[in-house]
Amino acid sequence: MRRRRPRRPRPGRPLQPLTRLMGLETEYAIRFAPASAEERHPGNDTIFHALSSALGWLVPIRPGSSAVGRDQFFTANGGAFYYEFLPQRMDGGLIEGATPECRGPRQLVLYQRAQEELLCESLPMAEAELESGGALGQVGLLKNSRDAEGHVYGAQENYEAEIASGALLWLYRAGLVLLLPVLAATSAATFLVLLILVAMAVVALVIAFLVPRWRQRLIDISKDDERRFENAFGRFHLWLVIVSTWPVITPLAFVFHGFAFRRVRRRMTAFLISRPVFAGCGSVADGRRFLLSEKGQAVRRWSRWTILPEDRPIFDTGNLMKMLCAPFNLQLSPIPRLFGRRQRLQLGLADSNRAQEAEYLKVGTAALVLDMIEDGFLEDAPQLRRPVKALHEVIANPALDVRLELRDGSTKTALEIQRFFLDRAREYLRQAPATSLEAEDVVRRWGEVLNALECGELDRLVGRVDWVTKRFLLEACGRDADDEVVKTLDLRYHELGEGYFDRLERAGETETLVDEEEVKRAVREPPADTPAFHRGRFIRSHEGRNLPIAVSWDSATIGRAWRGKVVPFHRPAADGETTS
Amino acid sequence: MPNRSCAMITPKGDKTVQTKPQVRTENQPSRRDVELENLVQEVAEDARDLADRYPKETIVPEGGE
Repeated sequence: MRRRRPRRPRPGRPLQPLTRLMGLETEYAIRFAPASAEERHPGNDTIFHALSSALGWLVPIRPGSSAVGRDQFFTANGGAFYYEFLPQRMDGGLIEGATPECRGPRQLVLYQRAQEELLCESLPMAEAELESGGALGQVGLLKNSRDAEGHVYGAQENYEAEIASGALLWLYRAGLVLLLPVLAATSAATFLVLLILVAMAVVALVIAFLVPRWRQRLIDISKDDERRFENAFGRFHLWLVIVSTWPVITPLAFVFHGFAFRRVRRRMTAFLISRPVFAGCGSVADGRRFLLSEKGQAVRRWSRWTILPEDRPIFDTGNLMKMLCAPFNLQLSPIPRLFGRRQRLQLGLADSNRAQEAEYLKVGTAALVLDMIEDGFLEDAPQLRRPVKALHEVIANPALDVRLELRDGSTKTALEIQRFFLDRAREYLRQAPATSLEAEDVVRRWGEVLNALECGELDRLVGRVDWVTKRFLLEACGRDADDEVVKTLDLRYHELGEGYFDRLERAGETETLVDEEEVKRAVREPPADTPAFHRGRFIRSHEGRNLPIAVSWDSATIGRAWRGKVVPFHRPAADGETTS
Repeated sequence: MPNRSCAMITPKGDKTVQTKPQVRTENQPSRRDVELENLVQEVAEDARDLADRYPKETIVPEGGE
């Protein structure tokens, strides 16, 4: 075995394990059950607006400033909600909830839980608002990753991490600098094309209004319930974005692939691919095959090459791509941040857990593995020969006995790979210069879960690991149940409030890590010692004030967009953290 | 060091691992076991009642990230 380097402080890294910034983004599917067959479906964008109003009655909120064509608002605890949709289908979107930045897995689970609690509380008020608008029915939200037709969405994890160091960091920065002229030229060309298109559209509209028959046609289009014109325009907009950003995105993807998070990707991949054994939610695929993960089957790449949503990678650099493409949204401020040593590492391979312990372990073990990588403790981590193929093999194998091919020619099961990382984490904590009770707890629970899986004692994991819990309920339904019944159970397991996991939780059959009082506080108060603290405090201090305020993750603008006063949210430093 | 050999309890090739709680097979189930059994039956019944519409009501036409 290769000798491991002794632990040494790295720039920007706290000494204590599990104190890096982390957050979760979760997409919730919207369910609307009309009160009768005659009732119309109001459209998911209308439901989102009803939910936003309801949330605004429950906690202080402020609209977001960043996203063009994307509804967003921030809440008093520093988190945010978005309406996430594809431009070609504006009424078929999802609700995305982003937790405030947290330090540690337990705090993150607490704020994720607060987000779910807030959404649950808002549902009756949203239904009342929809009813007043003429849409009578029941609204539900599903924290899952796959619908009955196989469309995929779900969760993403975010961790503050070192993007590169030494020569790789300078090569990464040089790559970005070389791209700046391309970015300037393509964004200028895009605005010129847009200007010409807008002028042509205005002329066409004027001519159409002058001809009575065409005018009537325009009025009909504006009243179209199926919103064909909007969706067609959205499709055109998406095409324009893809074409205009392609000259920047393609070389940028090479820069990221070559230099960004290279060390993390090499040493963390085997851990992430084997993690669904305890972090997977379980899913019933075609032919009633039971899979460990909902989202894993849709992951097709190791890292991102395009901005298309269906290009689902294990390591997602979509957030960094959006930062570089900010000039297309008339923003320049995100670009300097791309040159920093520490960036947001986004993981696309993540299910939306309902079980608190599974979610806690999912983020806790990942953060611990990142700590070990940055401290040179995983130089000999197993590396898979074909990661994406291995992922699909793992999730299709609930017996947990499939052997995965490693680069050195040997094979290991997912459990053996997890056992390697667990053993290494124990050794790491023994040598850590600062103790962390939370890290000790993560390692203890990680060991318990792996022991139970290795011994086939799955009954010990009902209510603690999602795929085990879901399969327990599916078996209770009976093997002769119709496909639709099985699918309903698969889906409704995830519904907030009335879902099957929540029923088990109310009956005391699940492992809970946070109590109700804590959750109630977390709904209104941001986590201390993170950038969210200043954001949340700003939102609460401006509660009830009739000022035009737009909030972003970094700052707030008071007044009109271009002439307004910008209030930055300064980032407090963690214990022992140094400036990079 | 945990006993890793216990992972071999699952016979090779057997793709179905028993997930029912052991307590459900005992002769005299406790009150909690009965409550869990009732809850599980309630869930199964709810899934049967909603099966004709629930999957359709939860379609996300274009998916997400």
